[in-house]
Amino acid sequence: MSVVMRGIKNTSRNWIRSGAVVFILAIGIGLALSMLVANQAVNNKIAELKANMGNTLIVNPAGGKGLEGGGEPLKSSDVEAIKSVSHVAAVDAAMPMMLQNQDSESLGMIRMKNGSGPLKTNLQSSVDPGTLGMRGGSLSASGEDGKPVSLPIQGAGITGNKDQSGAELSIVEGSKLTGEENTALVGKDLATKNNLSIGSTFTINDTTVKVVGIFDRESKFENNGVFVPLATAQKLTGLSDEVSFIVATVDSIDNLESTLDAIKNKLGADKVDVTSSQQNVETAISSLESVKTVSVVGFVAAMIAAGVITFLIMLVIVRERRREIGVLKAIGGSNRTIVSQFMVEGLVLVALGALVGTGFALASSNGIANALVSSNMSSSSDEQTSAGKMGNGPMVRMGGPGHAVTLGGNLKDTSNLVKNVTTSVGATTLLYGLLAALAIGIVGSAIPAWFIAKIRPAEVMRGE
Amino acid sequence: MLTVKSLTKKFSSDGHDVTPVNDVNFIVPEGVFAAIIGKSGSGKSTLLALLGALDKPTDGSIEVGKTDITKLPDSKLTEYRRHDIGFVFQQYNLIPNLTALENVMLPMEFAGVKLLERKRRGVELLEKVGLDHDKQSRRSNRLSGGEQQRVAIARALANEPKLILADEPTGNLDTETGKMIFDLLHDLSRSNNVTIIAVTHDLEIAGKTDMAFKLKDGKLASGK
Repeated sequence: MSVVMRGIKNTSRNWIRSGAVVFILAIGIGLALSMLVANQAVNNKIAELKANMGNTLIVNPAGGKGLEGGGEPLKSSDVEAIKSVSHVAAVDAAMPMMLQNQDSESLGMIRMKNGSGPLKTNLQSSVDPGTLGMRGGSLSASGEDGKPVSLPIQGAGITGNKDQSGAELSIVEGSKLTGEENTALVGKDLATKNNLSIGSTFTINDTTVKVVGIFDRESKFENNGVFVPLATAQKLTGLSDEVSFIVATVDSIDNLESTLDAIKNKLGADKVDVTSSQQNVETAISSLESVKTVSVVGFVAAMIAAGVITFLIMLVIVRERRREIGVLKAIGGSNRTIVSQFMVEGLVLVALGALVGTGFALASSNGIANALVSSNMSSSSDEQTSAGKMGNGPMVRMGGPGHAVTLGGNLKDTSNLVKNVTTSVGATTLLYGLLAALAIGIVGSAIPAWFIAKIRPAEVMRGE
Repeated sequence: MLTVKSLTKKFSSDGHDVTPVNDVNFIVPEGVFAAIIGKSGSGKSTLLALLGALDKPTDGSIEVGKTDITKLPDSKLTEYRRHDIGFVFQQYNLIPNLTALENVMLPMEFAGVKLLERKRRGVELLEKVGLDHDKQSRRSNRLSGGEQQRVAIARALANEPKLILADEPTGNLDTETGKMIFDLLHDLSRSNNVTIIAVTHDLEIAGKTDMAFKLKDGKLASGK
């Protein structure tokens, strides 16, 4: 029987104790692995944020934003010009539009920039005006000419499948826009209100539009919306060749500032306003960095705890077997042999603990990661919510939800993306975690065995 | 040949200096069965521990052949214990979760003997001390006292040592079993030309050995 086999066999001397040790180690190692996995997941999320959210630039006409302000409109040629700027990976253009039910009177001061007013539709707004909606001036549910009043339906023409903030639309039914003319994505609440499903049709300025998909933007206000291909929006509004704003995706967050300057130079600083979404994302990344720190500290603390547990358990085991160690030395066992035997014994316990702990980590890492992120994001999320509230109120009253959607949507999408951390236990992460566990197993078991093995056999045996 | 010269061991216990072995001198020729007798606390077990390099003397020398083991470093002492001596303890001191055969194979493993050879010799030794195949494969803590002591003797012989040191080998056994174990050691001494030094307080047993030394308060009082 070799040293290794003897070490393994020794773990079965006391099943109850070994089981308890394995259980305690499994909790420690499992927690450590969960922290490691959470750390990896947060790392991935930061990379994803940097790649998808933090690297967008929004180009508006100078002095204008969405349906508000002034300045000269952007043209399709501006889109092409931005495409040619270095580090610009993708360009999406959008044109907000307001839809008003053809049988009701609108609230607020909605006017398209060509002075044509809102587009008429047979859709009913899914948002009731309520008290807040009436603050624009009308105090009753019917307008001046006796028609019922309703809130407008926000819409936009888009080139891809991203909203005005550059965030990918979450399609819950049907498919994305392909650019096919007179097709639309409708918000979940709007679809419910008007009994729309995939393949249903509705009208905008007497043009029949087919529903190809239903999206969910997680608020009643934003789910009261319609997205159509940019060309369709241009045709419906009669603003051919115009775009309201352009979203430029930069290849790396590091090139954001230089690209912002390059676009301004290309289109003329007096002609366009270029803003970046970097600040919001930096806030989110900062929160995630805190989670990373917490997970690293948690990993180290759990590993130290597992190491201390191993050390104390092995200390008890070694002290219990002092006489046996003396006998092994008396019959020719070297210090190295004895230490190796106890090390194997400790490693077997740690390996079993790691095995059970891995199962624990697999089951709990997602919950732990999301709990860490949620608890850490609550404060920054609160800050963002209050900022959103400050911005939303007056904008609705002014009847310009385009602006509110752009700003508020960006904050919310970042927050949602950050909160939705998905863990996956990678082989490398698992390997590092298990190697760390085995390292503490070696140290935790070798130290007590080494101290006992160095003592002269007679002292050990006399001490019994 | 074992030559002990001016062997002294001192240590401090509860603030008092104790000298369990005090200037002991004797010679034991090769192949002899010698007994060390004396009352409890006379220093018999301490002397045996010094002879087996389980402890270091304060003074004096122990020559085994031409080597003074008191001058050897720890690594060499391990080799000395591994190859040159075999221990038999009063408490048997077998590894409880190993079988009788595995216990006997253990010193051979330490000495680097190959597995098959370890098994062959282990079985041979256990048969020599009278344990059949069934007993050989039993865990040592499932054997009787006499059987465990037989396993301990087989283990002591595993690496074919020149010297066997036995500390009260019959102390935990009934008279009949004790006599059988003593006879076994005696036969081994004769047949294998092994020097055996056994500590005992049983004068009848001591009377049957080739040599006997009496220890009193750590000093050699008499010998035969």
